[in-house]
Amino acid sequence: MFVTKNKFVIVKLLFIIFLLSSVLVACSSTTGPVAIRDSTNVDRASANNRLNANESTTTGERIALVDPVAPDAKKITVPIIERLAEQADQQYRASNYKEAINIAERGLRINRKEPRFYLTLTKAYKSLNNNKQAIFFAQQGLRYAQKNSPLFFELKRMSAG
Amino acid sequence: MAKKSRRSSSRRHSGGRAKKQPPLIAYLCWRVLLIAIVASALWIVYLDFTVREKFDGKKWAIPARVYAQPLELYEGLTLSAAEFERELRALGYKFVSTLTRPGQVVRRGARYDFYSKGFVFWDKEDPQARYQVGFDNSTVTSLRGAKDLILRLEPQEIGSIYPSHGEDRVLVSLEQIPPLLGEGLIAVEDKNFAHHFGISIKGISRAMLANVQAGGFVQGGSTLTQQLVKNFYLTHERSLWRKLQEAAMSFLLEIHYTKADILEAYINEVYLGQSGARSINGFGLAAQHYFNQPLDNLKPHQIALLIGVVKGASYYNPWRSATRAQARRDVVLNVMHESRLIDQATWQHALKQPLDVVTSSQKQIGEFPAFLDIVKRQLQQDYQREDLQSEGLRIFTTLSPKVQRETERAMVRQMRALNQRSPTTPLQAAAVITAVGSGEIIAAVGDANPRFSGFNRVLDAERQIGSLVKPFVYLAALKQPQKYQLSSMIEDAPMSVDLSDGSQWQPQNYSKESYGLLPLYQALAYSYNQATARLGLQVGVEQVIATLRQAGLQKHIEPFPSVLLGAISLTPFEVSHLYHTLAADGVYTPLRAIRSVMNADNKPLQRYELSSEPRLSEAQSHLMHFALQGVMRIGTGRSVYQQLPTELALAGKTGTSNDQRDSWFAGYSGDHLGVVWVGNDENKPTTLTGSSGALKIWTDAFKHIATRSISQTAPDTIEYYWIDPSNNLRSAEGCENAQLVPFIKGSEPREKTNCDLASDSISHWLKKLF
Repeated sequence: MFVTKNKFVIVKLLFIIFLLSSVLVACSSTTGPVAIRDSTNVDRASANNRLNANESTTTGERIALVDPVAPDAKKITVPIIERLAEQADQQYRASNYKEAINIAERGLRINRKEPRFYLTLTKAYKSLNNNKQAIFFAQQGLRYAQKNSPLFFELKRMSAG
Repeated sequence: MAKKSRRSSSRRHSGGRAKKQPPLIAYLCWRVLLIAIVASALWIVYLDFTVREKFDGKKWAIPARVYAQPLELYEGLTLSAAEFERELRALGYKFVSTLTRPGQVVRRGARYDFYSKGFVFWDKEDPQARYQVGFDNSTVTSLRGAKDLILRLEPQEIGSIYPSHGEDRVLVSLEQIPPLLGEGLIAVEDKNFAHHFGISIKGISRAMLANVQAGGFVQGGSTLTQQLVKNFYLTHERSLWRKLQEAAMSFLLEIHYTKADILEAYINEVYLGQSGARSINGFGLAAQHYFNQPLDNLKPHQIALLIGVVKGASYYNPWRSATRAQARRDVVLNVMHESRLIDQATWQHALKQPLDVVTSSQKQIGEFPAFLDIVKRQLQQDYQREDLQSEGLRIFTTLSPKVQRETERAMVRQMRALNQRSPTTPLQAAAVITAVGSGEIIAAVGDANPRFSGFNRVLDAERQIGSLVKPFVYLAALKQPQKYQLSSMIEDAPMSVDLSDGSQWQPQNYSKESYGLLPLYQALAYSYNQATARLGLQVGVEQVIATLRQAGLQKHIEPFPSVLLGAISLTPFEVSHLYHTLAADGVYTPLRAIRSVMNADNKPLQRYELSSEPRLSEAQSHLMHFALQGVMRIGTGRSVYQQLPTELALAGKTGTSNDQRDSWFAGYSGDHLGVVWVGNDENKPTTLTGSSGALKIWTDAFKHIATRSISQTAPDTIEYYWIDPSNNLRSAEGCENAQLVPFIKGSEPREKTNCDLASDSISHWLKKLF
């Protein structure tokens, strides 16, 4: 009795598995068009998941080459950058342009993508009548400044010469 | 009348001579004596002039001193405690249990208390002060005592630019020397210094007696003044005439100058050792050479050793003859004690001390010949050679001693392995590491033996760059975004180009196979020659050369098709310029090895400021970062991830010239660019490719350098799309083979492909089951 009942359960289970499997196989062989999802706005975690998923496809070689990050991703700042940016600006305001340049360069050696240092360099070189270099630094700063921020607009204005 | 008178006068004279004429010999003696007196007087006048002219004028040519970049500490800096410790040791800091004086450090777990030595930097003087630094997991987590949240350690002195006679010295004044040094020197070398006039009759007699008794020259009776005269004005020839000169000049020196002047000159002049071709003169430099400490930091047993070495720097060399040097030091300590210059306790304590000299590996001066050569050549554009050798300039450079050491070690380790693989042709190599953004050269190795000072391959080895040129071929194409994107298809198939001389150019892949249609980023990653040549010809060789110029190439290149595959001879330094522009987001920066120059009075003369010019757009630069990361992830550079963490985003390109004569690799992280060349000076074929040669050294070096990933932040002019690389059509996430590729906005393909969902492991299992 117990054996017969169990056999029935097993057969039922196998049938269910078969049905589910058929559905899965059918889905996996779909050839019709699917929605294209662009990924410029995906977050880092999902990008990582994609990367891992891609690793198991085709020949086993890793296909995703980079893990793109959106331009407005939060930047990590360290206290020393804040302090150096302040000092560079103070020196510029005190008309110590050479010292302002010295401190800004020191800051860029720690974080070469900090736009405030480029702004200081731009202003200092402009004050030293080196307009060409000032414009170049403004153009560089624009690459790293938060778009549409006051800093961005100031750099944009100064990059115009 | 007049004539008569003259005649009679003449007669009188001749008659007188006949009567009173002295013997001829006496006459001649008088004449000789007179001439001797006049000659001696003239000689004395000449010696006096010589003595005064040199002593009053500039006494010594003071070589330029060259410093590495200082280690800057701040909270959040990636630096392990072990690395920090190595840096302190290299700077000559002593590990002690209690901090009492500059140059000491106390370690308590991952926390270090240290007493800095103070240093005059190009922008300000940092005084001696106490600091505390804490570490956690290779990061500086706390910093106490530092104003402005940042602390600079003193930079390592890495060399000097000294005159051809090889004399190097650090000038010190009498006020700067420890009293024990001056007093000890007098007690040991010339007890009667304060009382004699340059010559000590007693000393000479004692020496003569000793020499006669020994039957040869065993003892000199020279005073400090005579020793100074001998070293400062005369040669080391041993003759009576030179001794006479020495005595006369010593006397003259004593007449014109004070004892303090003479002692100060002696302290700066005396020969105290040798470091290769460089002669160590004066106690100021000797303190650094033997102990890596400023003179005023020395302890009695160290001062005693320096005084002991005066007797014979080679004979009492503490590294070569430690026992002999220690015995001599103890003799000096005994004299100091007998002369009551040190008390009983100090004497006893000093005798128990070891020699305390730095280890041979800490004698870092002159260790980095290739880098110093770059510095000298950059300086010679702005300074006369003579000024560099004599004006005591202080040169602050960009060298990172840590990165330099790691690059050298990687070079030595990997070259040993590579030479074992191809023992017939001895291989040579060169490497340059640059800080991305600042364009500062932080390490340079110009020979397979990093200590070899000769042909500097970083600057002078012009070699064909092979596939290192390819990124610029692709970049030239990507500058036309409506025509070429990274996913654009290019055919890798046999091709033939008719040349003007009637010959044909038929590029082949390294494998001699063809790979058909494939996207640009894959053709670059796998470094396919046929695809690249086809693309380059489509774009135009001139356009490729123009792109190389944008990146910083300054040489003239004829627009031959072979340029597309790297038939251009460049030095590792020139290649570094090109790749630095790629690494620095498209901004060209002339590479530099010097930050600033100060004169001997610590007044700034010149600062070598950062200058840069954006030459590629952000978007173009981002595309190149992507493509060159492809080389490292799937292409010819992928072996790096066998040794480096996969989460570290790196970009680079291998290069192999015809017949494998040159093996290149140029690669970068977010912080560092490294260019490595391996080959042989005879330009003979090797068994190496870029991957199997230069990349090995690069990987080994980057494994030991703290560096960060390339930023993956896409500029807002870039959009990523899923692409089917087999047909350059838009695909979707999860579709078979779909690849995420960046595009300059508006240049992405519009047409969409059908999507085969990528199989996962469950469906794969089920497919097999049913």
